[in-house]
Amino acid sequence: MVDTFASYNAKLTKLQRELDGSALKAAIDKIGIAAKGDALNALKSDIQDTSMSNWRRGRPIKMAARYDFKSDHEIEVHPTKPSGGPWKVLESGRRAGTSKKGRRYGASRGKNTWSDALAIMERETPARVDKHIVKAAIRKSGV
Amino acid sequence: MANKITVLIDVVTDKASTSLRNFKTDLANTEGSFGKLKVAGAGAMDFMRVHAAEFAVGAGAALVGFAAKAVTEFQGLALEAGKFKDATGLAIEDASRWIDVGGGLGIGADTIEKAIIRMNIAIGQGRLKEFEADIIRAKDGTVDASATFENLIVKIGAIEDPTKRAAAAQEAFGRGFKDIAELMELDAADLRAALEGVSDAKIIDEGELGKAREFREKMGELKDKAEDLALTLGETLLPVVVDVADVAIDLGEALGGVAEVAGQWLGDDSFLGKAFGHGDKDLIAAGLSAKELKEQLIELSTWSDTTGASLAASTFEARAAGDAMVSAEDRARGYGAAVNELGEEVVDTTREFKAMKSGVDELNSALKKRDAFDAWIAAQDELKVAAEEAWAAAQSGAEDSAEKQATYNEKVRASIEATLDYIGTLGDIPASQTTRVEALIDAGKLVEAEALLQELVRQREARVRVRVITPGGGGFFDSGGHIPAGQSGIVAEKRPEFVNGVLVAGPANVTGGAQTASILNGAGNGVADAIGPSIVFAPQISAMDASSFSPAFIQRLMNEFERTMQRTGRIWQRQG
Repeated sequence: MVDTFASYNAKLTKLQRELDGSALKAAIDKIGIAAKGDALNALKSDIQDTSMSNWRRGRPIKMAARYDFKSDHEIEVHPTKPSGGPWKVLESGRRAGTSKKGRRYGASRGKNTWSDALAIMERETPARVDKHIVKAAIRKSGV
Repeated sequence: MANKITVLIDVVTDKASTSLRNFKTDLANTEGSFGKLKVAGAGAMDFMRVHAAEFAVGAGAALVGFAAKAVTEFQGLALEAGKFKDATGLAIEDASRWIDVGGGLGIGADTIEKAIIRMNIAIGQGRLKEFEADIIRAKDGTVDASATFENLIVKIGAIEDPTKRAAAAQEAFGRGFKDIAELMELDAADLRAALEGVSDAKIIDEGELGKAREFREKMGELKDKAEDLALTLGETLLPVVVDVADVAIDLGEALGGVAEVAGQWLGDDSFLGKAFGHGDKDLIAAGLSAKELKEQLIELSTWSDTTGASLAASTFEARAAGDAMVSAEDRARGYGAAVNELGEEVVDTTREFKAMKSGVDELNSALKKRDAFDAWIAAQDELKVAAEEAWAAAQSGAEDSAEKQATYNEKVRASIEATLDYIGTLGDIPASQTTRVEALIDAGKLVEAEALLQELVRQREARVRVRVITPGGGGFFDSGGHIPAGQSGIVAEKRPEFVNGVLVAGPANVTGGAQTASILNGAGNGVADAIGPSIVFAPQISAMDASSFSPAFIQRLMNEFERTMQRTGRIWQRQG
């Protein structure tokens, strides 16, 4: 179909809408979900599963990441609250000590797990932005 | 690692998305028809570069569409000014100025037009006596509507008392005066400046109005021409459609041919070659039709080019022609797609034929083996008959005994050759070896030939199984035994044997070779008389030697073949 300037501008306006507000937020959701997957992949790479069975007796800590919107174009990816401690230990290690409940624990060396996750996110996110936001917006707007 | 385990992904300000951010920002900061395109072209060049392919189509289309849009806008403005002029009596130039000034304030041309009409009516009815000084008249007394409207707007707009101003405005411009209230907000200088500030491009003169109206008429004519063109195209394209249908029919027939071939192939092996040839012809027919269709499409394309060139002589007509050509191109593409589809069908059919040919070749190969096998069976049957006749003639001392023995010898030879042929189809027996076997046969060294043949067969592990061929089915009686009634047997195949009764045909009792030798060694002439007929046959032992290779050899082949058939269910399976 041949475009007039008016119709083409309408497409550009639609493109602008796709790159803003709720449309952009919906697209960023997909990037956030993928980033969570990156964190779990880094975790599986280091500890082979997604729980820390010896962290707490009888109730293994389920390791996971989540993301929150800081604005309509920003998300913050971080460990879920229960798994924050284990993530830190996996990242940086810890010295031997005694827990609040008097349970002794040994020292461990950090595996840089979160850093690995960040590396994956840094590597993968540009392509995801391109796919879920840029290309999707262009496709939807018909530009 | 950061103190806090977290990462912020910002799709707009991240370095990964800088171009997106720039584009988005620039896009948001620009307005107007051309501004956004300018952004797309300059403000976010890197974004555009990355997504050049996505933008290329749209931007190109926009540029093409712009010319048409500009023409349409000009026409719209000119015709609107003309309508304004006709309704109000203003000069076309004045009408253009009022339209533009009103447009700048968000007041539609229709609104100003109605206000001026009501003003003219009010003046005509003498209801604007108090503004008589502001009514501009020509020498002939006619009212200069534009100048008067300008004066009254300023005059009434300047009345400070809102009540009086509203009453005066309603009197002069009707109840809709409030719609031109913004005009009345202007003082005389501003209004004059606005009217004089209208660009020349937006001021339509009589000549331009005439062109616009002519354009409208021509557009009407073009619409008719476009319809004619569509009909003409339809007429031209119709044969193409018919040809496409013909090709489809041809292809259908070709496929029918395939089905027929397949039917014959399955129904009677002997029709395979002919059937395949028939399929090839249909394929060629389909291919030729497709070629003809392609040529017609090329012809249509040439015709379209010529038509397009002639229509392009007129700017307006070119547009209509362009649309029509696009339509024709779309249709041609449609037919092209149909041709491609048919081509794919032909390719598929060809592939099917190739697959079928492969199957036919395979079957032919199997059938060759089968033919050799049948020939071998026939040779054995003939050998059996010849053996029976030769032995019967010899036993009875018939005059043609020697002739039948010669026939029997020929059949033995034929049997061996048939065996050689068959074995040759089962494996890669070197020609030198088969020649060697044949040479042995020619030299009368049948035992050696058989031994060599058996050796070759062992090496090739030929898997064959055939039915037992023995004269009369009674078997061989070197060890002695009983030949049942209705059957015949071979005796003295290795050495003389006593037979009580007829030598070949049963019922008969056979004294085995070893026992016979014992008897002969210890017996007198009386015994010799009793076994005389057997001794008479001693010279035939050489012939029996020739046949003796067959039963044991054949039996082994039969067993192998049977096992293979039971295991695979196939006529032939290559081993190793």
